[in-house]
Amino acid sequence: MIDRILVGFEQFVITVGFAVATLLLFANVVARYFFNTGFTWALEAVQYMFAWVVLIGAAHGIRAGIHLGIDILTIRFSEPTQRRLGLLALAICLAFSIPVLWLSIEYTYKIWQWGDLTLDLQIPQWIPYLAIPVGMGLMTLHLIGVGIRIWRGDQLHVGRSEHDAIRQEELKKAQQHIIEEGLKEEEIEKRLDKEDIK
Amino acid sequence: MSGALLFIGLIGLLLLGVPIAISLGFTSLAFITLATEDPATVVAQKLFDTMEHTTLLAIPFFILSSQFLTTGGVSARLIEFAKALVGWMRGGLAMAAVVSCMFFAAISGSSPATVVAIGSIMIPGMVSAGYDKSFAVGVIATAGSLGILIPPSIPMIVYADAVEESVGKMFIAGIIPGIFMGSFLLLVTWLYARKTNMPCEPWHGWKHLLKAFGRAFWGLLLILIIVGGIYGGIFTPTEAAAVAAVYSALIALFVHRDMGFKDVPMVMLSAAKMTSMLMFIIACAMIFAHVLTEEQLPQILAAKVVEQNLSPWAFLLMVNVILWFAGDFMEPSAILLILAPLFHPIAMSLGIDPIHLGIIMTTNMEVGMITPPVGLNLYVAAGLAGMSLGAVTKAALPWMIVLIIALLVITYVPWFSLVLVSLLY
Repeated sequence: MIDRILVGFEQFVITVGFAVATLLLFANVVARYFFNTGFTWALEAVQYMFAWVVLIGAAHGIRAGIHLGIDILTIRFSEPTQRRLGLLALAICLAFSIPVLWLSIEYTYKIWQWGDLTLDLQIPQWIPYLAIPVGMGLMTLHLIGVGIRIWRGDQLHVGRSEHDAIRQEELKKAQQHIIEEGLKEEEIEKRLDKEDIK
Repeated sequence: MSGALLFIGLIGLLLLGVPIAISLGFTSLAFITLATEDPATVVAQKLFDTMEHTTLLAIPFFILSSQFLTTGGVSARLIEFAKALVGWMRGGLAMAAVVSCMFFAAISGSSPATVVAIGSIMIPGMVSAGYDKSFAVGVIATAGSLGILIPPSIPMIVYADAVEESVGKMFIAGIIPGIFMGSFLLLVTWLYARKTNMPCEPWHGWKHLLKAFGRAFWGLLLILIIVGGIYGGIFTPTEAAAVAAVYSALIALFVHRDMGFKDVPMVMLSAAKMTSMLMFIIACAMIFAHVLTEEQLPQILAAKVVEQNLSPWAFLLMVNVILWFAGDFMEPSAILLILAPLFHPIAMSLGIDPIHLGIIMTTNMEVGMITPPVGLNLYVAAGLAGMSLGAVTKAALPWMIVLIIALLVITYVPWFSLVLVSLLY
């Protein structure tokens, strides 16, 4: 339940953030060249949006298993050993995310105390910086979740190996694509031929 | 000494299967806490600062744009055009595969994306036309690696950011080496096809070629928008990437109409995931590079190399060997962020042009894409063709030699990388 809410929130933030950032930067170029006005704050806004997208996306990536890793060595061991190595790797990930979470809370708190405003947007500076503790917090939660799954034996590594990552994400889509593409190509051919006849 | 420890720790974690990004982040964090007096807050800060590098922000948009191009059917049309263009030659489909990879490389910045876009259509196509499967896979995995040499290119953006060079110059410098590499692959394919008497497609006449060009037109126009826009000073590379992303979405939705609005969230989400994965690696590599700089490693290394009286010739060979080795463990962007600042000052003191060095490094990453064990293109091609990784590796081996020959030419003939830059800047 909590998991589903988190994943929903993360997917929403990264998808919408990405879309808004793209359109904003595009609109800025259009405004500059066709209407001779630009908004100076656009670039800064895009940078901050990407800080949120990337840090939250990186946390989501732990859950979705998209982080690249190397499995040439670990893959040679038996499954129980692989799981133990997986837990060790996971412990190292936590030894990264927890201190950084702590450091980033400290850092963001300091910025909040200073009370500075950002250069162009003129919003309190701690708002964009909040992305670091939020991202690291979510990452820690997901890491614990993955740890439980490795412990239970549902999963072998943290994030997936390069091998699986590509398989799962790209190939399913690509293969789907071949099938659809084949069908669609015929349709397109027909449509284009009709146009040509006209 | 401490620098060596850092690298050993990193390699150890990577082999243990810790994700690349966290391996980089953890080693840096541990090093800062244990071996230096600096506050560790810098780690948290660097994670955020990465996003303030405007040049690097071009990467997400190029990723998004290639997602739309693939899903939106632009790649299929580029392939049709390539077939009409060179399909009638000996080994026609293989030749067309290389040419389509070149086209797609010119509108997308990543190698695996190029392999997926072209390979998902061309590998089954070549196999059903009677080509040897391992030959088909080898051609696609290799030609797909052109994705990073022909601009736009994600590794070039990263290099430019790491050594503070202009992205525009890097892109322009990549054009001739990219075309050279592509033509070289075409030549090898054609010679091999003649020797083994591969099939060729019939020639459909000029009208067919023109028709195919018309269908591919909107995709090809993107090359002009990106290249022209950046050199014409209309927009910065980052803005060019955003324009490319919106343009590809518009083509996919309104011109080709191979995808509908309901597919947009799915495309956005998968681009956002891939972006986060890559940018998180880059952010962590930035922390690592920061530690190296704080330790004065670039200066120490540069002094040592200068002391050795290494000739530029030997230095470039060394660069290639180190990169080739590093490519076995890591992702290209991370390698460039970490090693470019190390090589850059040495190259400068030896009188090697930094742009040329960047092109050498990018080309080397290209070879790394098809070098086991971490050649990303091999994994992607293996999955596409349903072949084992071992079989794909064997299929790509002769191609690796071809790429290495081209790499050596690009390394020792700076003219390729520099002629356009000196003409235009």
